[in-house]
Amino acid sequence: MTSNIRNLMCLLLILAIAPIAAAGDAIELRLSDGTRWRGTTDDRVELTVRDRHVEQKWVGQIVEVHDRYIIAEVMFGTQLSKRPFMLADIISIRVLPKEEVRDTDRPTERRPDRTPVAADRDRPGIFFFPMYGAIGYFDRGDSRQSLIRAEELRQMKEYLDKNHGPGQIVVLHMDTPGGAVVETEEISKILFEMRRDHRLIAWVREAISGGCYIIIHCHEIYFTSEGSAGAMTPHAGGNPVPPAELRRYLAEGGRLMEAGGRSPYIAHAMIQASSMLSYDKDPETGEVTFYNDLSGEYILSNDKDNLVLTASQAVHCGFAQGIANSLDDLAKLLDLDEWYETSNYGRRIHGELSRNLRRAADEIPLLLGRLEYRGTHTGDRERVLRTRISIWQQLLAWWRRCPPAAEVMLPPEQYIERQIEELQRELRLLRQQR
Amino acid sequence: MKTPQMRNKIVWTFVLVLLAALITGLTPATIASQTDTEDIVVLVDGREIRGTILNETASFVVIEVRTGGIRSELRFSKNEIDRIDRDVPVARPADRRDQQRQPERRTEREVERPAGVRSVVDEDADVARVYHIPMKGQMGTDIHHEVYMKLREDILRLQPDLIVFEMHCSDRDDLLIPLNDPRERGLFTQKLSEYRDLIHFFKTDFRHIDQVMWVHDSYGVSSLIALAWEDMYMTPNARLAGLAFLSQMAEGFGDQDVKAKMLAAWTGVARGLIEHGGYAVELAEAMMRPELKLGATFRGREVIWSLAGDGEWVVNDRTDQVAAFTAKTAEDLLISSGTAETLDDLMFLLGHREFRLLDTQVPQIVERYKDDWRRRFEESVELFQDYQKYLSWAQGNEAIANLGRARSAIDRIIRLMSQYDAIETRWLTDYGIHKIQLEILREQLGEQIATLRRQQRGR
Repeated sequence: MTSNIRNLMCLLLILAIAPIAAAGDAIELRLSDGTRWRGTTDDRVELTVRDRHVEQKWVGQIVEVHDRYIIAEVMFGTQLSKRPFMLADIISIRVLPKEEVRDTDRPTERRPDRTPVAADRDRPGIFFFPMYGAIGYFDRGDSRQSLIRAEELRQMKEYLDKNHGPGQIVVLHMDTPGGAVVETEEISKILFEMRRDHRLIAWVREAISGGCYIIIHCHEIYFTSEGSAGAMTPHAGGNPVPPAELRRYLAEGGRLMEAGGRSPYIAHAMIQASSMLSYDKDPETGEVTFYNDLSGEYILSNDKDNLVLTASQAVHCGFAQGIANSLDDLAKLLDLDEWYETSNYGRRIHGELSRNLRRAADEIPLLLGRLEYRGTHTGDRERVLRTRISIWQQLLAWWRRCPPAAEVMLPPEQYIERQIEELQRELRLLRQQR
Repeated sequence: MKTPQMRNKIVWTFVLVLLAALITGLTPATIASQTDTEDIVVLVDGREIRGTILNETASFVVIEVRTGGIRSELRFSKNEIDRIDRDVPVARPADRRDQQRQPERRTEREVERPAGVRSVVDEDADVARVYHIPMKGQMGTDIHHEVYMKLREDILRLQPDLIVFEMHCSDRDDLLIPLNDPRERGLFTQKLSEYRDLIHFFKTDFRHIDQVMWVHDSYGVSSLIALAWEDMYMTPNARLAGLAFLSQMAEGFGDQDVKAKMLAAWTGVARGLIEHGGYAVELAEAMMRPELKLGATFRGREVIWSLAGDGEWVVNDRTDQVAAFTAKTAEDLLISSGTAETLDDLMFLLGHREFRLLDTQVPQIVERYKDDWRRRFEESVELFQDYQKYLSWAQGNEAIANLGRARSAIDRIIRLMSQYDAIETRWLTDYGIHKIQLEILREQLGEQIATLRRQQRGR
């Protein structure tokens, strides 16, 4: 064999065992659970790896891919070094936004002074948060089959604080007939905090009663063409609230309106039928002046009617900044080139709640019905008791899984726990007799 | 026979090609990545998310989406996903346009109509292509949003120039024409969200297509739908009325502030729908609230409405009934754009001397749906009577057999409810019976049957 051919064979051998992927190449990995991951060697990734029964996270860049392992350049201690990771040990791979620089001293420790950044320094993150259904309670007759709670909004706030930092755009998509005052006030507290850090946008399809109280926390309000907002009068099951409570609500509503750059008279007209509202609009500057009487050119509310604004009324009087019938329309009004969402976290937590509520609406009545008859055909008292205990336990689980549905459809948790205890005692006694 | 030199040349050529491939990055992995393909995650709500799937497990999918240079990672639970299409070639804009519009190939025919308006069947680009959508019957059941939203693909495929909605709906009591069967009353609160979805579906998703509402009769909830369209025409005997029920929903509240709130809430939502069609707030209020009068003053083609009842034309000066309109008064007051008895008349008023009615199955689909669900509903009512009959027969030696028949009857009703939302709705509104109650009943019957069988075995 000539030396040329020998050299050639060596070269071919080297090439054969060379990394499959060069820098910047797309790569596809099959993980141990059978899932596929695709990315490129330019991506900064977070590897979750199982190392002797312990999960560890590593942040770095995949530089080489081989059949059974990869080599990633990660921080190890205080040094940047290349480490091999067996594909069988990799639980998951997550691509990090390029700006999210997370150097770690130890694999699972975050840098204490990490400054959260938006996905793109020049454009803030956009987060869509659905608010559909009644506030604070689950109305099974409502076709929206959802509800609005402070809890989900709190989760959204915490997610933004932890992962993205201040300066985000949060769009509250409103479709609610209102609901519980207590829950609305809890939501109000969270929104007060959120509006300090983020640009809050309300996109209104329906924001009646407490729904309107929510949207006036927002910096900007947009309507769909068929949207409506107003009628903020508090009531207790159809009965009026005490006068002191009504005065407090009037004052709070007015203050919120003013904080959002809107006239407090709007709140008054939305709360009390006797409060009047009219306005003048300068034809040249567009500046609006509100009056709490009927002296203005445009009359919104007389002394007998409560105020609900339609889309065109809201925009004309300056309560709302525009009308958007789609996310693309909304993007234009927000001065964005196009609509995008940095993460679907808000949609996800709302979706999860809605799914649980729908499931609860189907399952809980069925379980309650089964308490009466399930297992009775056996004639076996012990089996019947065990069946009933199991059903009560499933009902108790619904208290944990979906408290809003349980509050409406189930007896109190303590009652259910007592029922289980009683039945377990009865079962014990029965077994002892046998 | 190859010489050593020739062999070397071949080998070195191969090596150089391989080196060139590595240098330019044309590895198998990158070759795959350089073809224009994308992954499409289709959600159960119809949305399509296009991008590159980064991670997928049994319970979730993470997809990278790039829009305008912004990269986002979206995570979806498998519960939200209808299907995933992988490595789909990215369609060029021209391809997408071609896919959306596939003109039908028909032989040229022409139908002469007496009015001088010609409905033609040809490919002339100047002839308006009309998509006809009937809406007939009870709001919320016969006129059900799901039936119409299924037309999306058909409309996208045909790309009509004009959609004509034909409204025939009278499902509220009229003083002169009472509703024979109160169970046929149009649904409002239960279906309000769905009505808004329906309006939004057509007016937003197909905003690029001209749309006309052609009212043959509208008395009740349907008037809210009809008035959501700016271009509205009526047939000569049509009514546009029946919204007084909205203010009646606030009755029963003693406190004036609470009553005013409830009234404002319901009429406010309705006003939003009517305003969506470009109609005046005053007109909407007068059609809903009997205590308000209505007057009109004309300024050219603009109508200035007054709720005090003053103006050039006193439309309604009573304080115990709402404003209601016939085709003539609606046209005179510029509420409707005109009166058209036939489709040819309508097209003529719209300025089309020739038009082509697209050969869709929509009228048949709508009619068939209505016939089907109503027939099945009647069947479900008879099945319940059968259940009661078999239950009464369930004694002695025939107990098990008759309980089984009773259970089968209930099971069949449940399946019909699952098949048609309208059936489930009518069972709730007509009889106050929810599907869940029937499911419990079915299980109870099963338990009884099992008990009897056990007892029989015990003998």
